[in-house]
Amino acid sequence: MPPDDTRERLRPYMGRIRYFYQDNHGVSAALNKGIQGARGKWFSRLDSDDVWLPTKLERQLKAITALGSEFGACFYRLHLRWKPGLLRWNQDLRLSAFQQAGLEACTEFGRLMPPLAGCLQDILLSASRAYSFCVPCLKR
Amino acid sequence: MNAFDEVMVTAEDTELLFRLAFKTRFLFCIDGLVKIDQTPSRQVGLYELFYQRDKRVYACMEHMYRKWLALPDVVDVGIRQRIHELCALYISSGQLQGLPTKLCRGRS
Repeated sequence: MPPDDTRERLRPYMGRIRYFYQDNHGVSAALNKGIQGARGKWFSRLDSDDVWLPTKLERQLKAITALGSEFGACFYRLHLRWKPGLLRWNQDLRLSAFQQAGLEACTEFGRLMPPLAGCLQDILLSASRAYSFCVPCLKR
Repeated sequence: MNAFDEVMVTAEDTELLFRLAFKTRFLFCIDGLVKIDQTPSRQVGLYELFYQRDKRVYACMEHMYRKWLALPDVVDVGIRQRIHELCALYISSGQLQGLPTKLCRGRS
């Protein structure tokens, strides 16, 4: 975790949440630490530059539970704030491919990445960002 | 199943999701549920790594593609070919940035 005031900010919520601290070993190590400590059925990540809209978890949970256990992860559309005060939809970064494909299998995943060298970073970043997700806790 | 790859400083979610795609189906909500701040001057986030062409990004992507090609689940010829193409593109992009040349090897 970064050396910030996270612990202090979370203090009012202690008792309702569990807070894990470890020295900074990177984002993956931090996420794995959280997964290892998870007790619930679901996992979702919130990056430091993201803001969940108020019904995010509620709507994801409702959608995925309605479809049954065949579906293990739920993705969503996102807004990108890329200039001060300006929000735009993610299709500008070619994420509309997600909607067309339905994200049902690895073939659709492969389709997300057209071999356009000039856009490669954007596309990969888009895929990465869109993958903030809600999945059954991986250890279970 | 291993969770997030701790070698990767970025795109760790993409890497995991690819592996997860062989285990389960994914649902996509069309509603916008999250805002992401990618303003260049903001104080947090890894977005700039991509635009600064940080060498760690290239190393991560190459690591990811090699890992995918080694997965026993990845048998589809078309998918393997696409991964090879992306790997090669990333390596060539890295070369343009003066990074050492590496060959992307794997079953095809």
